[in-house]
Amino acid sequence: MNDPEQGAPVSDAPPVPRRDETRHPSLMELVTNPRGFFEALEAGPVSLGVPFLIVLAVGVVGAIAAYQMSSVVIRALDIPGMEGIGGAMGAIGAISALIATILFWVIYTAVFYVISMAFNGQGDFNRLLAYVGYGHLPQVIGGIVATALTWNFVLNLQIPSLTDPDAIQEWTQSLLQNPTMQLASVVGLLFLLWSANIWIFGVRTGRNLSTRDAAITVLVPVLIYLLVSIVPTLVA
Amino acid sequence: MTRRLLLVTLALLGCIACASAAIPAFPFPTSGVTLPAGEATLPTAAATTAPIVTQAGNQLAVVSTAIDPPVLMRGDRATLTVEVANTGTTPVRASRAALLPDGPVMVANDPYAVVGEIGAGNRMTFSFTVTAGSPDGTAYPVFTLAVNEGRGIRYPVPVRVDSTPPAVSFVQKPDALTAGRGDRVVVSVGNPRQDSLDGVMVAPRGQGFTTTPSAVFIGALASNGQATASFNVTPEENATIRFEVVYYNGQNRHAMPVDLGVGYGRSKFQADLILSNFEVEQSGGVYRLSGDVNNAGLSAARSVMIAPGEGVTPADPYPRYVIGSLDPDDFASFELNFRAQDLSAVPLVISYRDENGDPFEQRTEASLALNQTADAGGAGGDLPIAWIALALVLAAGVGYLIYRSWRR
Repeated sequence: MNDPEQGAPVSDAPPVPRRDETRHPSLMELVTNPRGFFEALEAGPVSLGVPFLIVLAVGVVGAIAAYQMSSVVIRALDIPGMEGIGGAMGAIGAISALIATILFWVIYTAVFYVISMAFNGQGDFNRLLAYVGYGHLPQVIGGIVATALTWNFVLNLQIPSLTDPDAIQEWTQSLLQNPTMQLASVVGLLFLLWSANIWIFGVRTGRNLSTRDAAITVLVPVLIYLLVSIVPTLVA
Repeated sequence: MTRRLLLVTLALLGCIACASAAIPAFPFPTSGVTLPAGEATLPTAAATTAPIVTQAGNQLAVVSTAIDPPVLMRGDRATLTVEVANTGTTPVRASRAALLPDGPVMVANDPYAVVGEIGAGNRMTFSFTVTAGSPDGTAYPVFTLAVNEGRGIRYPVPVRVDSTPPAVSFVQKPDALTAGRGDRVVVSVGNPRQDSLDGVMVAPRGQGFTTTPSAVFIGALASNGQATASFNVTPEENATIRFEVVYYNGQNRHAMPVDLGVGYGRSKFQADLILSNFEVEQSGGVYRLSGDVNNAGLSAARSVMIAPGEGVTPADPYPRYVIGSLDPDDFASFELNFRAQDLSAVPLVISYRDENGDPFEQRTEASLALNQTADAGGAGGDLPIAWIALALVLAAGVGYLIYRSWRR
């Protein structure tokens, strides 16, 4: 038996570097190597903090753009009793955009989760929620660019005085048909596709799917969303 | 008693001899008389009242002839009057008087089959109706008066036939007709004939136009005289404009139509309004169109007004724009507001009046996509090149990153 006081024998070999299982990959790796990013996250516990902050950033940027547009529309209204509520309407628009962004985060995750069940996907919902949240990172950049475009458009906008509801609706529709606003939509479309690309690797890792099944899981609802929401605006 | 009767008879003979010596002799024409020529030799009426100088024997003589009208036109009817006097001292019983036609002059009636007795020193007038045929020239219908004893007379009466019509011309007329525009037309009527014309009147004929006045009465027009008739003619679409000169030569009515001879088109003096320098902005479905209107014509345009045409709805504050007068080579700015849907160009109506107050209308179009500037508050606007470049760079960067993620 070994003497307890002597302790364990000391090895002369240099210490073997031990892998840190809790290492968090950088967000740059998410952009450049999303497959490795999510595989690195797979070993650790689920954390929703960073994804929530990313989605929140997307929501804030979208809220700024929504505030701008809501304020513009309210300023065009020349309806008695509506004076001075431009700020409030802008705030309502901003909060609505923020809540909608967070809500869409959950909805996207739920849709991916359900579709991936058809491919026998296995994995935690929270983990998938985190991975989808990470996938919102490109939309922060796209949101900033789109907001800058919207800001530039609003600054040069001559706001009419409208009293007829039909005229207001017509004018609002005409705003969306402005080339600057359409460019903003194209930018949003571009960065949504980039997010979808990241989501494919996130769903692949989080639901343990093949790359093909993950691509189907992600692209089908995303393309449906594009067809329903963005493309009609560009075509019009 | 016998002695007293002889004295009375001598006194009467003495009075008659004195009266014969006091009255001048009157040269009566005979069958060998020189025919008068020209209008001066054709008095319009046999108005002679000179007493007839009688002498022994039976002598009939034509003392005057007259024809009304003095110069006939082809187809005219005239009254030819011959006055005959008995210059003898005894009555003459004439059996028949007639007028024999000659050349273009025909005799329309024969009213003197029985004449009767012409007393010594008396006159008798014979009137015949003659008609003029062709060709023009001077004819000599012969007046004959038959006497039982065979000492009648034959007298050729000169009758001139000249179908020269009045000279009608337009002193003033427009260079082109425009529907709805009033133009001044002045008609000149000249009389190149050797007799005067009566009841001369100029009246418009045709359809599709109005004139003021509706007719001009000139009246008598002496030989070598001239008169004018002025009209203000306002044609409609496809009007046929003629004028008719109506005149009388004696009892004969003549009408002479004259075409105006002016076609439809734009007058070279007409005002010509040109729109340019369009600027289109849209604000809440309401378009604001501004621009300039230039008068490129040679006449002033009055009461110029610009309004949107069919297919668009005028809107406040300028549903139409009144400019007023616009002189040649002058211009003015205008502004219009209207609503339009699914239109690439807006129809514009320019209405104005000329100096006479006649309304005119010009139609044109302005493109709605022409000048939609970036600061317009609606669907218009140019996209800055910088934004397009940024979008392309972003697309390239995103595409590269997506490609790279699949390569690992």
